[in-house]
Amino acid sequence: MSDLAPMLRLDLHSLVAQRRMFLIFVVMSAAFAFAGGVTFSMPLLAAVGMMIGLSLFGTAETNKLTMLYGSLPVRRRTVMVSHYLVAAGMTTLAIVIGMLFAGVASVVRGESAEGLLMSGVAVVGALFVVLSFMIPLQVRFGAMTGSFVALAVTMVISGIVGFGLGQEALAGLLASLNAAGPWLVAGLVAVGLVGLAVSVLVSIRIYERQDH
Amino acid sequence: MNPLELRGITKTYDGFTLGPIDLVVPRGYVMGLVGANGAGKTTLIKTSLGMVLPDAGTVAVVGHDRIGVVHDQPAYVADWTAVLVGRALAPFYPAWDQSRFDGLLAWAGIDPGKKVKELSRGMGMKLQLAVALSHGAELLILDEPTSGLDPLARSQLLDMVAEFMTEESHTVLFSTHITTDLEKVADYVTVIHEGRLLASTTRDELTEEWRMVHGAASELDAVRPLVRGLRQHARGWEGLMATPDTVALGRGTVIEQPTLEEIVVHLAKEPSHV
Repeated sequence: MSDLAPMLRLDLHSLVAQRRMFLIFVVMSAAFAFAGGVTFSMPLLAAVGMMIGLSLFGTAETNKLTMLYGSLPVRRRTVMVSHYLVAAGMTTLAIVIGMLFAGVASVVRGESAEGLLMSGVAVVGALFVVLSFMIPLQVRFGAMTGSFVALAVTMVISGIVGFGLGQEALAGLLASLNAAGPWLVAGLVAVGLVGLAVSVLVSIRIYERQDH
Repeated sequence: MNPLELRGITKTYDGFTLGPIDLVVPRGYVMGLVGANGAGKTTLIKTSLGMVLPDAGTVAVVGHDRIGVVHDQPAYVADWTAVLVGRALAPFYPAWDQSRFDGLLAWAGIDPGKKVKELSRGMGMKLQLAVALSHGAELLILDEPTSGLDPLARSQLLDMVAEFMTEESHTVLFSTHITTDLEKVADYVTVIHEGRLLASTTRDELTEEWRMVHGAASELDAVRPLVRGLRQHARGWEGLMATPDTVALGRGTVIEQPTLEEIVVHLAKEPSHV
């Protein structure tokens, strides 16, 4: 895949438009971590990590970069592989930065940083699962519509799970998952990686059949 | 081998069908692709580049590393600076010539630090042309590059195309609806209308094959089926006729060599009455 290296560089250059978002993210991560501690900042990290992971697809759509890709000596499958690598990499980087702030903040606040690493890895694994679900929708329907479709599906699934299991059963399930500890985290990361691998194949299949 | 050959290409969208189209762009020449907006020029170009997948037919084209492309608007990240455009695209091309790119930016009067979104339409087209001419391309594909440009910018862009063609192995496919551009640079002309190819030949042959005819109303009935784009008015009629068909016309008819624009317009339009 000799065209992967230049495509990765192009994708990273494309994220230049998101540099303000990155800066805001860094400032917010630090502020939340110092103000509220690790537990408080993790949900924010997860949300922003996913936004950053998906931002490349939004940038490509807004700037009609499929036209650019089509005129370059790069295969369509390489475009998708590169997008996935950058999305997963940026998500991971966002979480790592957030965890660093959270770690420093916990020292400053005199709190225990125990479980921080596990929480961070678990968030990365969970975000990989989310990305593997979201990206094919973005490729198929576009960034805006794809996000709405993903949101709708998530709400439907959440509603079914929430109402179907009931509050107590759900709380019990979460408690048992928490008790599983490192195995759960490892499993989550494994599921996330497998999900991304399957997802990239699905996205390649969609992208190779599209007109640009 | 010709740098671009399309065979039996068809593509159907809702309410629009392109083709079937056979088109050969011969090496060493400028092929003008002319037609009204919505005629199918961009679809044909995108099909050539593999961006649109045809329903049927085959495309044979040189490798993308040897193609320079200018779209009808720059497809770069709006926040990129001109210099970043070069930096982002250079790694794709083994033959990228940075000094050539810098020189072309200077020729175009583009500040390397200026963002894509801050460039005028003309500057945006020149930036694309700078990229297209900086990596040793042998086939240049230009999609409506002069549309919306002021006369000076159009002239500069056409000059660059002419300079590119000083290398005899170079080839250009140039789509436009401005026929005067083609009169300046095109060796071959392909006329496309509503997805169909109406003509594809050398520019000189095309203008020799047709004649603009202005005649009296009394002569019209005899030749009506032979007239393309017939327009009737109070003093008679006018339309385009194949040159051999004009031999038998009476003395009262005025026969002129048509401009490229007259050929395109008359081949495309339906007969009308004023």
